Amino acid sequence: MKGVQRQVDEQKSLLDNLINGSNNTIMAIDRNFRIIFLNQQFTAHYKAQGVEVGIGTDVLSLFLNDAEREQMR
Amino acid sequence: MHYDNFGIVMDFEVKYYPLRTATGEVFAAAVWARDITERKQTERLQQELDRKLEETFTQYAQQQFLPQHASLDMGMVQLLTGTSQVRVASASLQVFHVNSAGHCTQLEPTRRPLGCRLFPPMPLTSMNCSCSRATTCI
Repeated sequence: MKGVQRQVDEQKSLLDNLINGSNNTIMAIDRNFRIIFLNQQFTAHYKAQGVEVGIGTDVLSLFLNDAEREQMR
Repeated sequence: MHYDNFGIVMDFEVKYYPLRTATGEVFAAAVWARDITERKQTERLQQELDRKLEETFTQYAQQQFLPQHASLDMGMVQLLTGTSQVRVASASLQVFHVNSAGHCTQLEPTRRPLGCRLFPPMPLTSMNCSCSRATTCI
């Protein structure tokens, strides 16, 4: 069991490093346009503009104004 | 994607990938974005330079070049109307000069790279390929 856990941890670590080592912004959003995953580059990009983003952030709020956002839903 | 947010204009190449459950149902989307702002700025600058180059050539040809020469071949036409660096760079410039007897002399076709290095379009070496009639000049 511990061996399996170790393998899973290693895989997770590998993926994390691949995703966070990229210069590109990567994120995943659910069906409600909420961020469920984001890499460090994505966070840094918005932080530089004074915007805090994290898990649960409505991604539409980053790109659209209120009216446009309502139209999207 | 081009957007102006927080007062900053940026260009992104964006790709979306569906994330599926074991049964194939899409439960989320992965979004991958690459910042291509610098590339787009370079492209816009290139377009602006091409436009200015075309404008300058046209103006120059109208004011100074055409009155001294019979005509221009298609290479020069392409040069005058070309909008991309590649087309300009590959354009063949041929200049015909009409002498006092009404005959035309084709000057050496030349290939020159983009830019104001084409100014002035002369001198070009004569190839002594006189036309029998001025009308053979386009």
